[in-house]
Amino acid sequence: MILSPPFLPQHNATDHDDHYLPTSMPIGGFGNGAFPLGLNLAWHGGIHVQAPRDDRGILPVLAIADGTVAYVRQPKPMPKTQDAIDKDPLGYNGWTDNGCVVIRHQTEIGEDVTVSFFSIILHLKKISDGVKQGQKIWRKDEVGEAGAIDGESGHIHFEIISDDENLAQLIGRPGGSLSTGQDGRTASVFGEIYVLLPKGATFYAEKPLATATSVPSPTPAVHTSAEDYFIGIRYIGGDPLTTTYKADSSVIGTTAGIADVDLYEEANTIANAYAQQASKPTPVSIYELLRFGRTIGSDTLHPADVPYWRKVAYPGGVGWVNLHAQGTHAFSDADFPYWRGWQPISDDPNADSRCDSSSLLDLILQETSNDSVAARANQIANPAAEQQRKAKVLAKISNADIQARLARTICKFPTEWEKSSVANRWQWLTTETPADGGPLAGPYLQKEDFPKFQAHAEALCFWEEANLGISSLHWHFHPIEFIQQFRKCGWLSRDEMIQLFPKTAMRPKSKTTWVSESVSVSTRIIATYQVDLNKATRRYGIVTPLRMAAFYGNTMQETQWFATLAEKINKKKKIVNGKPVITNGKTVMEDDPPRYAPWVGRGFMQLTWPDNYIKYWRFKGKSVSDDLAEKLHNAAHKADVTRTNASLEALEADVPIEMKQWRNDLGNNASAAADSAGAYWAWSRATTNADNEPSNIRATKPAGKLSLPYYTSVGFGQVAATVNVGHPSTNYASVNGIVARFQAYNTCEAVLLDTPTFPSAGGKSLSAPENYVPRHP
Amino acid sequence: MKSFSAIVIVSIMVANYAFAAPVATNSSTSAEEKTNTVYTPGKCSFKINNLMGGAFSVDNTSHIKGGVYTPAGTEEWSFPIRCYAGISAAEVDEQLDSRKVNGQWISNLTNEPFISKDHFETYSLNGVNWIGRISAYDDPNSDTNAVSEDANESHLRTFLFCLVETNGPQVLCGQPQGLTAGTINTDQSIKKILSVLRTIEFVEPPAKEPARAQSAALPSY
Repeated sequence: MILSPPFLPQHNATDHDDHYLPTSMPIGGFGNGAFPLGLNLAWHGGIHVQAPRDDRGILPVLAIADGTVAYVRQPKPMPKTQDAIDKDPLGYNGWTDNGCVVIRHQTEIGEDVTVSFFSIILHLKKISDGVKQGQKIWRKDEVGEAGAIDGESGHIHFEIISDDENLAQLIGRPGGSLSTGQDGRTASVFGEIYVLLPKGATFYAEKPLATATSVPSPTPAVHTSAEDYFIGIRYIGGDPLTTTYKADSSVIGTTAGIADVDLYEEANTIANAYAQQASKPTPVSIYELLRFGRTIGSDTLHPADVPYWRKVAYPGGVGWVNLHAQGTHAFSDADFPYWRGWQPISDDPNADSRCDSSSLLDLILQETSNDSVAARANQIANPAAEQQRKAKVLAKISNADIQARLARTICKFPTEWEKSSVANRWQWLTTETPADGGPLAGPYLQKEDFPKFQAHAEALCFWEEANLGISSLHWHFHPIEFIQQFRKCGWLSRDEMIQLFPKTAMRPKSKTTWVSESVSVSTRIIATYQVDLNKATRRYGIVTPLRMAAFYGNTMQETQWFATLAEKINKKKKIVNGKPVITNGKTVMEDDPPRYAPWVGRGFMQLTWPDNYIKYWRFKGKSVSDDLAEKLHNAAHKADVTRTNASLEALEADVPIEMKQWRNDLGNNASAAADSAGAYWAWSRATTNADNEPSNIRATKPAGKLSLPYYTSVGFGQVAATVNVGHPSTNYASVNGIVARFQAYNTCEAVLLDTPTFPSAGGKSLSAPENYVPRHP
Repeated sequence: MKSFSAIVIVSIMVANYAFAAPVATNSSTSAEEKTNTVYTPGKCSFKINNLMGGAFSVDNTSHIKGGVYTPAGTEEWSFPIRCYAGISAAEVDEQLDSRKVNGQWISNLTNEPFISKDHFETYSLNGVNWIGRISAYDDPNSDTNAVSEDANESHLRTFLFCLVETNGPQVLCGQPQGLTAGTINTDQSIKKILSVLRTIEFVEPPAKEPARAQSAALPSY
């Protein structure tokens, strides 16, 4: 899922979403279009966002993700006179624009986890020309211009909704609280990783042995937990942050931890600590334990109780605790856990637009009433008690902490936009007294005023016209929270992945001239590799736009745009007795193997030379004798010096067929090809350079009469050198296909980043590379 | 690669389905090596009746289950076999990067008819209880590592196969990797690959699988 806010002020890719998203979507507090409750404790399914400004003026509204336009309503022009405005249903309480666009988004967040949701953008004063019902729309495409709400210009109502089926896909369950009796889901894992540490966990002052599942009794414990703790592990720009949460989502404290880039070495260190033991876990399984708090794939832990000692905060201090002890369970943000405040709400007992959800009112009052729906219906029938309860709610609801808690509710209630039910949904306004109005106050709305209100509400409705195909009673997410949560996902759907491929790429035609050629990619190729690539990038933490851009920018070029997972061998004329062989008038050609053959490039990063293959196999726990490894190492050295592969070919007889199978697996087996690329990324510490802000310096190559542009970036260039020549370098001339790599990276930037900038020849700042043509599936 | 201005128009090398590729004859693999091992990646179940001295390893870790064939000796080619049980005829075509429209073969990469320099070929292949289609073409993407002034510049030879069970839903497809177009090594490797493929035999999937559907994927050829 690739997702972004509906407004995109300049975003440096290294600026964390915690900071960026609130600036891109400025919202008011309670009473100013907050979610999920409005002034009268009426349900409010979205948020009112003020369009940010920059030096171009008010920013346009953009599509938040790829999708299909499900509904368009052109805005009614605002009347020119105040009298006409006052008489217009849209002029109720000041002019409100009614331009509306609904987009259906379908994407993926994990293996076989397809999700569908709608984004609703209302109060547009202009809709962009290309936005037509039934047509595809792409992330960052202009949707229109923010209009007015109640006379306040430059605002939109922004809403994200899903049906029951897709809620289950999005959050991993059909509603209710997360069950913690077992690990969280594995098909979708992203964001912060959490380990449930059941009460009674023992913390130690000193780090126990890496293999110690229990600690000898003389070792003093510094803390024994009296309640469940939830240990969150995340990385901010690669820096680790370990947080101890309580069940109520309060934070006990934080510590650092193992840096993302150090996980590979740490996994090997722990595996080596088992050297003298009968059962030795594979380094890759430990790597997963460190990354996810558990193993989620086929590389399981043996022994199963390998400890995960981590320094963690407890009330009043920090200590070492085993995060993989018996009784622990692991989760991720994909589980929408309650200890981070996530709470699906679906207990409103009636279908009007007033919130009567007991659990939501409890959340605001921070009480636990555990009312049944029937009990709740009885309470509602007692106006005095209900009024008292809502008065208490109103006294608290404006509190910023309460608003933050409400933002992480996912609420099921009737749409605000169904015209036929407006009267029924809002009639309570004329019969009920505001909770804080006192016994003598009148109703929210006098009966004689209701028709005008109803006309206004109906004028904004679109549900019946839009016919979106989901029930009018559906789930609503806080849009900022939804976007922030799923921007951590890093899983690319097929349609998203294919867009990463540039439409053209350059290569040298001679020593002085270049040629730009089309790049072709079949849907078969993407379908074959997409899931395994996503699983590898997830395992190795290649889940930020910058890292994905650097990873795919290289893998696309290394594999000739995914066309081959094994290096294509150059060819030469077949020579016999000093003369070229000619058959049927044609010169016979044969393979011209490189000096490292048969250890040619295989997998998405094209591992070459025996040392790299063996390093990966040992990481995966495959046994390679030191003797054979040394022989191959020496033969490789000789091959490199003599510039011929004779020494390596001579050793082929010593290479067991099982090892040849492993070697071929990297070039044929999608999982091995992707995973070996991720492992190479990890051990070469590519993240360090990939995390740098792209510099996008314009460069050109002469192609015929043209001078064709591309853009260099130091960080990516160093990743490319790491991949191709084994170490970071700014000497791009040493990197094969570096121009095509940069072009691939530039395309990935355009697709994955929010606001990349590329200078044009004339010095203008472009949002995509010059001559960029998107590859829309 | 030849320059863009010097495209030579020659007839497209589209083989008719009516003829089959020649049976490989290779002295080093002539000895019969019958094997009864049944491989069950995903929802497919099959035997390779003659491994020709090579080995087949099942891959149940990739999203699309399958396996990899490795030949004997010092030969450097290999190929994957992936299970696509239950796919439609159109999806078989998708696995082969080509489809026939109004008698003309269209490339799924370009959505245009294949052209002469693609050296496109397609032909049928029959086994014990399956029929198959081969498609092969020179990959249109150039090697961005290469300088193209060399007249002998090499392209990838994309070679794709699908074996469709004649009385069931099983389909096996694959693509040998890293083949260089226009070399005798590639020609020889393809012959050997075909000789291994011909010995494949589908068997009934394990009992845990649901009742077998009618074959939905049988192409019309």
